[in-house]
Amino acid sequence: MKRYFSLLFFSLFYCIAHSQNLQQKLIFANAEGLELSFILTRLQQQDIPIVYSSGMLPMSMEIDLPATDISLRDLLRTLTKYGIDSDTKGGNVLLTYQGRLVSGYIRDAESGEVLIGAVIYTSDFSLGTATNQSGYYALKVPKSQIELTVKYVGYQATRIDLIPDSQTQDIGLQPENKQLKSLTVSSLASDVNVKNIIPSSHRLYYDKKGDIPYFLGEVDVLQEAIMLPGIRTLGEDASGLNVRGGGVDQNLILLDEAMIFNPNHFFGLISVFNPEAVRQVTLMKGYIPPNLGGRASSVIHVQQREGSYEAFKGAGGIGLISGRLILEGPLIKDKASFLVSGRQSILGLTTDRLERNALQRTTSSFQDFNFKVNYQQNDKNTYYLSGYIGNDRNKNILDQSRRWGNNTLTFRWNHAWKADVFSNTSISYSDYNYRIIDPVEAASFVGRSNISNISIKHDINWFKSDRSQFDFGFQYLFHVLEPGERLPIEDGNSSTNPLTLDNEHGIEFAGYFSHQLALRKNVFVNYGLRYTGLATLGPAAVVTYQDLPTSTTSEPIDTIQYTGRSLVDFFNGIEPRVSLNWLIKKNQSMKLSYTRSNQYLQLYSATAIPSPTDIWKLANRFAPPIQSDHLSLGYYINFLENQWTSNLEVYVKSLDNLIDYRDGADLLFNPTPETELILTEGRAYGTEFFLAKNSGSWTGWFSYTLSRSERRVKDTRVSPVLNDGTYYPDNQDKTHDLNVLTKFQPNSKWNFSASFFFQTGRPITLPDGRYQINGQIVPYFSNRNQDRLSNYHRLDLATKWTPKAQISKRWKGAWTATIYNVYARKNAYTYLFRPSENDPLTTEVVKYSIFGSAIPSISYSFEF
Amino acid sequence: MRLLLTYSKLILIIALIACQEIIDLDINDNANLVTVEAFISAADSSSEVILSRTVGFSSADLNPGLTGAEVRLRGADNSSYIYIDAGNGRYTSSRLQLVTATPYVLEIVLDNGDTIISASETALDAPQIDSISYNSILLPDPDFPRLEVTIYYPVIYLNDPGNESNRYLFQLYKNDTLYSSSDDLVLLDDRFINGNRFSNEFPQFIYELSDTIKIDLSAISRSTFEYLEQFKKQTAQLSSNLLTTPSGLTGNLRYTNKSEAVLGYFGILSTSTDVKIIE
Repeated sequence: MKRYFSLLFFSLFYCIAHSQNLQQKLIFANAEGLELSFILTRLQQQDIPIVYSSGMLPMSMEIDLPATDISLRDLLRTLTKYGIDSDTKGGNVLLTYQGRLVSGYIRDAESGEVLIGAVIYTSDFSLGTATNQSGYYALKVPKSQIELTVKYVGYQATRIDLIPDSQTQDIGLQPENKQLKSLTVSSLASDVNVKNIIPSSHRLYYDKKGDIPYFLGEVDVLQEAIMLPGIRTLGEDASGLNVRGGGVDQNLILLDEAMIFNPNHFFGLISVFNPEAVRQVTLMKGYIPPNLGGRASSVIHVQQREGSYEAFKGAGGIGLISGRLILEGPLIKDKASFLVSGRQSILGLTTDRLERNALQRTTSSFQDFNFKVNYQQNDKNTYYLSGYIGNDRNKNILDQSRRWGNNTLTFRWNHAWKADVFSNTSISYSDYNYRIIDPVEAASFVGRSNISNISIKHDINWFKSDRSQFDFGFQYLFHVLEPGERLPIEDGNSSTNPLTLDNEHGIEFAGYFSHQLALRKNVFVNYGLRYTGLATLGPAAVVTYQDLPTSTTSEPIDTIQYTGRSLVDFFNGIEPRVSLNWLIKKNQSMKLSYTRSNQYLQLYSATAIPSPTDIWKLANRFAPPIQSDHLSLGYYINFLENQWTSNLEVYVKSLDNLIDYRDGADLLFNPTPETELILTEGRAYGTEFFLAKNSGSWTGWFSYTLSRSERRVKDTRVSPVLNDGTYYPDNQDKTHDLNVLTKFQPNSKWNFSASFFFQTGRPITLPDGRYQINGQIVPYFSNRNQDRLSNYHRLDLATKWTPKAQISKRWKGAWTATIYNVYARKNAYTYLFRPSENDPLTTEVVKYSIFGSAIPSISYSFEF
Repeated sequence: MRLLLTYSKLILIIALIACQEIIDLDINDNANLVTVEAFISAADSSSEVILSRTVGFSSADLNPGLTGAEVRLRGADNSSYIYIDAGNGRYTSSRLQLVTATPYVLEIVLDNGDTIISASETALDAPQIDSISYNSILLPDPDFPRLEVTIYYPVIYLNDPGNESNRYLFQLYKNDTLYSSSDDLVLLDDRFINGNRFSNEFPQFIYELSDTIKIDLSAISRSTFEYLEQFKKQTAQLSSNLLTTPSGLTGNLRYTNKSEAVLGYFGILSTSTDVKIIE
């Protein structure tokens, strides 16, 4: 009985207490758009005993209250409308979320191709997410939610009705009016630039025709990239990109997750990516998320298009340089599709104007081929197979030739383990090889070099809640490098001795973890760790030296033989990464990020401008991995409903274990290239400004970069100590870099565009004097890179005319006319120092320009 | 298509016009260093050493000769040869008798007392030329592109000794006129052809019918080879996409009493010569 009365008393007290709690008045500063996490904090501040699991509630969901002055009872009733139920237990208010998980792929409704980075959210904007690299999304919404809104650049914003009781739902988006569709940088189209937690990233979407001035009308994937702040090339005839002071080998260039070693055809004038086959390019030049790595400066991810699941289609184009064609279509309706594309240069091209002898002038040509096949087995499994084959050829009349190219093959498997757990597993093969054939030299020979790797990568995304997402995974890269082989030419007359440099074998590995979290309603963080390493394996013969290989006293003292698959060198490191985005207002944000990266593969290139026959080498005891520490701070602001977007970023980067070269280093077929290396450390810092207008008949952008990139010798025991051990400008150091692009589209038929470039001239070494040897005037150079070429500037114009379809209703074509270098600026590529032709006892400086005139061109693109 | 191709070629030809331009460049050229030019032929009894100073790169002045110096060639066999000041920085000796396989050192005492000394260089055996030949090829006439002309270029045959590393310097003459630019120095390391009979073609030297080909073939030391290779890279025309980073040429001479650089080189060439008339 005593026990009964005790229980009755306790229940009565509980009910009274509970009743008192429910009557309690709560006052909020405003009633609309309150984040759930904020409401819960207020309840706790007022000592209301609430119990909940933060992982189970949609903490960033925005709640509209009926009034600012509200009782706890009414508040709980309001929350019920958002799917948040309440119960009372032991004097506590227990909150639970009756949400449902919706997941699936977002696709192009016409072609069935997945859309990466598409945004999906509830109509009141209270909850939302974006598709991952496979076009997959997962979002927990209230059970009462019946529709969602989906947006993607170049597509019509769409409201979709959720299928009742279905956990998976694929969504198709209709492309916008194709006539208006054009190449767009992501930050031009929405507030992604403000909200994206990854700073310093750009996403380039490709329309297959292109409507900005391209070199000789050749639509090019990477030409727009160099118009963005912080990205540049060494010159018009130089392969690769330099990103925020990094070398051309410091960019992780991926084509459907396979590594591309040389991204250019024709000595840097055209990229290897066939524009018809490219879906989008993502450029990350600042913060690199923990799931990516292996290079010190940037990630450039090129994603190939998927073939249409709906209908057979074709497209292509022809210009002065190349012709290209793409075919795509379904293999199994709505299940499987294919895409194949090819490109072929039309004319023998030459940039060898310095060769005095007609026998030595060369012509170049290139080809490439892409394919992609994808198969959707069911809602949970999708498979992709894609590949690329490309090559360049450079040849003279004596059949001295060079040939080089990339090849890739990628197999990917996307699997949804649960609606909120998604994985991407890939196996890819990449190789880059070159071949030199010289039937004329003393020892006619065929030389070749090759680098290849097989990558196994597994990534898991766990969409824990709308405010929390975990990513983790691993990657193994099995490298095989053949630095050089020089064999007698197979005509029976060669007197060369065969030479084969030892192959290099290495296993590069990485494991990572990252967490993306909404700390508050307006503060987001992405943080994680990446553990990476490289084990180089035998067989190998490693020369040891008395001192540093390049010191003044160094002599080889021994050669250590590593047999079998014994461990030769081992390097590893932890790479912390963190990025913070503070959304100051709806249209403003501040982003701070830090990235550490280790790079285990370097390009040995002793020339001022990279060459296709440069050599890739794994990190070793003489040239340890490059380590980069990169800090950046950015302010992003948009105006007039995102019609204008802008950002200002500052960055500082330190680079360790960069390689420079002894004077006159010869790396080709060199068994001990370490004797030619000088280890340096670098620093780069700068400010970038970007302003873009995104809509209306006039669009375009302005970008400006103020930056420095320098390096210095690490160990002064080497010989020579470049510039007395002080910092000197890197080859790609250009203080000012300004680009303006403007487009005018008065109607659907016509498009006019102009682009302007201005850059400080790149560093160059000028002579300090001259003297004579053997009757020849010899320039005397002392310190490197203390002077500069003259400033570079150029204006290009283009117009595109899209007539009505005439041949058939399916056939659509467009003509593009461009003028490259409109005012015929003779931009200096380099200065040559030579005896005067008129008076050989005096000297003259010759400015050499790749292009010395305005170059008009015309091209035609089509689709059917 | 034909029209497009013609137009395309025209465009590309236009693109190639006027890509080189002589410019005035403000160069801060303050160097004032001593230069030694001492390439000595092992077979000749007379030789010359030239001492001078650098001048500004854009200066119209000639390099001033250094007079009043003492120049001496010393052999490891205790031989010693004094060079006589012939004026204007030229020092000559006409009594050399260099001995194969003997190291020699060049010593210079300047008129201000500074002493310059070289690394040792060894006189090598002169290589033997097997024969000289030539190849021909048809090319469009530069003046009348629809016509073709036959041009000739030399080919040399020789045997490389197999028991040692050898390096060669080829210098070519057309009708006794030396191809004299640094671009015309042909250097060859035998690391790919050691011990083999081989041929070397010279397509960069163009001859016509009835011209006389003359080739000087010199055996040179490894350090001389490396110096000349750099000399050539730093002074010759550069190809458009393989620009060597300019750098100071490091020779084999130094001061004994200070760290200032001495430019130039002391080397010994052991040379064979052969000729061929194009018929």
